[in-house]
Amino acid sequence: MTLEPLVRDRDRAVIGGVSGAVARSAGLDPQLVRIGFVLLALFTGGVGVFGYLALWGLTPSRTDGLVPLRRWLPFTRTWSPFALVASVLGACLILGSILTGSGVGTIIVVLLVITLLRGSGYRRTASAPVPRPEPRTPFERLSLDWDQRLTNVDSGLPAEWDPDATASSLSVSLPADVVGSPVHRRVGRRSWFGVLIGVGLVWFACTGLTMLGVEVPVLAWTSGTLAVLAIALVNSARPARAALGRPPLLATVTVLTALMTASLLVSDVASQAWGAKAQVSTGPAPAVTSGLTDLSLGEHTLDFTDTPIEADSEVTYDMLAGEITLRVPRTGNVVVTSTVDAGNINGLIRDHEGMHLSETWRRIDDPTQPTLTIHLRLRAGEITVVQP
Amino acid sequence: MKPRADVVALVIGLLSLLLAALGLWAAWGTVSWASVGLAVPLCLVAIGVLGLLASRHRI
Repeated sequence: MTLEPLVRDRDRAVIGGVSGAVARSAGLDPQLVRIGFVLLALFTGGVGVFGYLALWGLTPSRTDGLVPLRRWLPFTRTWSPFALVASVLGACLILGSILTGSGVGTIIVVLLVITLLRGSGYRRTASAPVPRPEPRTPFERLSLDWDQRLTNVDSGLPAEWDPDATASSLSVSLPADVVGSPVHRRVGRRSWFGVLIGVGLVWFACTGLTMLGVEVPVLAWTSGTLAVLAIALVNSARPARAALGRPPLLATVTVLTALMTASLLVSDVASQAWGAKAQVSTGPAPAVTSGLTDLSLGEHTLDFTDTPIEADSEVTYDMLAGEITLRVPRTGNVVVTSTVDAGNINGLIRDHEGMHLSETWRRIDDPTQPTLTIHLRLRAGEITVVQP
Repeated sequence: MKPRADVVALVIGLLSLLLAALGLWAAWGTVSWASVGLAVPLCLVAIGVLGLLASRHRI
């Protein structure tokens, strides 16, 4: 399969310009490619995100022809294209397998990235800068020059920096405080120093609490780290800071940490819900207390089989997600109202399934006797009403 | 030319901050998921509106 060279256009990029580059290379609609990346991420358990990031780091930009990874990691500038690609794909393989657990998905994404890079002749284009189009009129020349000046400022380079004079050479004498300079020392606002100090303080606090006997769950470690990274990212996005750039790979590390935190949060919630299969006592009948009762996530059985109805009362049970099984009193007047936003109602009248379901069941044995009214409200799940 | 905010970084940062706050709450407290179910969509809408406002071109 032979494709056009992969080149990102930052002016028309939604995120990094990877979808646009793949679309131009393969002659496809960019929106289809974007949808394809989203579906790839969904069906590979999130590994598709690593593939996108790998292509982002390996695909040169149209304006300056530089591969982002070589700009952010100066020590990779002497590496061959094969070594660079192999390192990036190896990191994706390891991170994707560990974080998502989807081994097959990881392999599929890695093979896809290799196919795209090989098909587009990455070995030839990654070493050579992409030439800028030659201006045909004085207006086009002024327009391209102005476009280059704006790109330079956005990248933290001097406005007059000329990529044609530097793209073919590694020994460029750029100012030492400019990103891209071989002797660039990242200090102050574009370095990781402040972020690492913040993360270190969080970890120090967690360690201190642990030594004091306070239990610090893993979720707290990752959430604290994510909070520091997020604050640094938001700070770097401010108009006054955006033109100066941000620590390299900060957004990538933040997204990876967010994925890790989200997976820990989901597993934490799932384990709590699984453990919360609460059973209301089936022995002595539960006392009828009027008012609203919030039920925790899980499965609940409300057994009113032997509950005496001594006075008119109304009880409401509200739950976010799970299953509720209601056993109505054996005797007496009862009204049961069941409401489910999405799920099933297995009622005494009929079974429903779908969204915004509601059913009211009444049994009036003696109109002169008190009535127990039970309201069941469930956002998502199943309500089953059983008559003994 | 007036400097512009980095919208992608801003949105990713705010979403991550929201997730971090939820994670810290779940780690050391009992999350009221009914409240979360109400607050999270509102926060997402607010972040989206903020992103749209920040991405407007100013002359």
